[in-house]
Amino acid sequence: MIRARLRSALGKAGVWTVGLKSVYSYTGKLFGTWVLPVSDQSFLRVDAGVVREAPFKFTLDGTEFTAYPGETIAAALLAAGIRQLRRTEKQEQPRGIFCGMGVCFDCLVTVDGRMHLRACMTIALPGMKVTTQNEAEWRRSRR
Amino acid sequence: MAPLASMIVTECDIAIVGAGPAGLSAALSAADAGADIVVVDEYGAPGGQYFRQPHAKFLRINEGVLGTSYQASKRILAAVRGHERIRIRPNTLVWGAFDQGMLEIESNNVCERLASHRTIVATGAYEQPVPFRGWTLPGVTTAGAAQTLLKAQFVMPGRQILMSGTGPFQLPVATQLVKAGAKVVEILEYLGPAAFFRSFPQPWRHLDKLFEAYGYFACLLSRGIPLRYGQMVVEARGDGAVEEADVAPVGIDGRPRLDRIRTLAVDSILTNFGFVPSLQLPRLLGCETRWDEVGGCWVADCDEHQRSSRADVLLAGEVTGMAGHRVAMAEGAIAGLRAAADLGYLTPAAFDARSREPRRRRARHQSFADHLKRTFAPHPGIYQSILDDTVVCRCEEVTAGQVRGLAREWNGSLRAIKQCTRAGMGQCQGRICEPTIARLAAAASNRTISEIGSDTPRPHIKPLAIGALTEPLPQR
Repeated sequence: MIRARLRSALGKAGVWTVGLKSVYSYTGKLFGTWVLPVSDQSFLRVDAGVVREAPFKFTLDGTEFTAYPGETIAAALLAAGIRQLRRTEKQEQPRGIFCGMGVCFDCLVTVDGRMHLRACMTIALPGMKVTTQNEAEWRRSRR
Repeated sequence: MAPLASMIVTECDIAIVGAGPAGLSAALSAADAGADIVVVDEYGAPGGQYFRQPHAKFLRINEGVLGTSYQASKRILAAVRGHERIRIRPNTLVWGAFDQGMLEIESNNVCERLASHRTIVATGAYEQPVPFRGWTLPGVTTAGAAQTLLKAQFVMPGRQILMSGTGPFQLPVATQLVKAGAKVVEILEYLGPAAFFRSFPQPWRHLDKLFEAYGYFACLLSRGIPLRYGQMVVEARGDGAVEEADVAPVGIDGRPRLDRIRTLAVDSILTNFGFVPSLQLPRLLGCETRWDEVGGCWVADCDEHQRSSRADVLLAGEVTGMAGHRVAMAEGAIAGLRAAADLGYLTPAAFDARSREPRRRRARHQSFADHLKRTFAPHPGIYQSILDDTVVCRCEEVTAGQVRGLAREWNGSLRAIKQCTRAGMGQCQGRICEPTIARLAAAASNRTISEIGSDTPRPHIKPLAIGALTEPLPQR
């Protein structure tokens, strides 16, 4: 109850618990336990009983986001609250993850210049530069 | 062929496409018989969907969240990984096949080739989405997407989750989400309780499934998660992502009753109305497929030894029909043994002896799978109730109204619908939209889906970068 309130309060304040985070991952590795109730603003990450390696940063459209080693871009962004990954070509409609298994090709993002990669299948790496695709703009710019 | 001479060619006795339960079982049974096996899979680790593994970078994981499939996967994965005659190629896509016995594969953005004497296709299945207004909004995903996110990444799909669909798959997904701490607002089942809990023949043969189901219900009900029968989601709304959903009870005709809509505040909607087999590769290889009226999906034909209509291609798992992982593993074992026997590694007597147990297993679990198929086949009312302004082809943003109009005009021809609207020509290559478009076309033109047919896949069956193809070619 208190943990949930603490999480909710910190989440609303948008606080990056950077100091707590490094203590968490360090002591987490030492003791192999879930030490602190808050994990870097990502309430969608399952923490109970899970120990992750040290996180790193990647960027989406210039904004930094945290990811843990082995996470897909889609998972890391979802954990940070980003659900819209692109806008469609004809109707400029927002799209994100749909099938989560690489079949629907809706979660397309551009990674380090390579376009149309599936965010749900691409593992995030430190320093990766991910950009969202606005395909309608791209089409207009080609005329 | 001179231009392809610089491509790396891997040789093996049996090439297995798909490292899920069926593919892994086939690899084990064939390798135990003495054959040299290469298993390719598009994902980064073997296991497929059902045996999806948490990615290797976790220092510690919470196995309670992963469900029974994770426990079942440990043994088979350890056996396959340790086997000296099995080579696993993860992150490898089979994108085409031009010559007999040769698969075109792509790995690390470089194209290669895989030569084999027999091919076992175990490419599995994916969820059959049913469109509703607003289903393209971020936040609306399949139930399998949530399960994959949870199993592989330990990430939850949202904070207020609504589940809507049909069939028993929603229960394990909901249980795993709830155990991980997610808030599931409601679970909506399309069928009424009488239809959902319809008894199946010889229940004493399937006590393990009954216990499993009991476990799911106990977990969900003890936490007070509402399980609502005879209801479905009809609309999703939100600014940039899902914020609220309209749900309605299902009427007698199978269509939602729009006069009794309730609105729920949710940020994640998980839908699952059944699965369809991934048939692009079998079709590309020339295997015959047929429309399964009871199950409501296309399946690839095979005989009792898992041989397809092509002599050197065998099929195992969900591609032959949705039947669950136990049938998939039995079919995989039989396919592996059959392929090994065809190549001379087993005498006919040895094949009979070794395949007796998998054949018995297949028959036993197939009967339960058939019951599920009959009970949870999608009702035509679900598709008839798709509103005209709802997008049915997500990639090309084609609406149901456009499809119905063209279907009436062109007697349900999928080709005509595709050529006029590009429906099915987008990046998913018709995987997501074809089941829906075929049903709309059949209904609008008064033909059966078997007559409407399905699209012919052409290489490449998944998007490929040109650089992957030109990279291994010699410079001019």
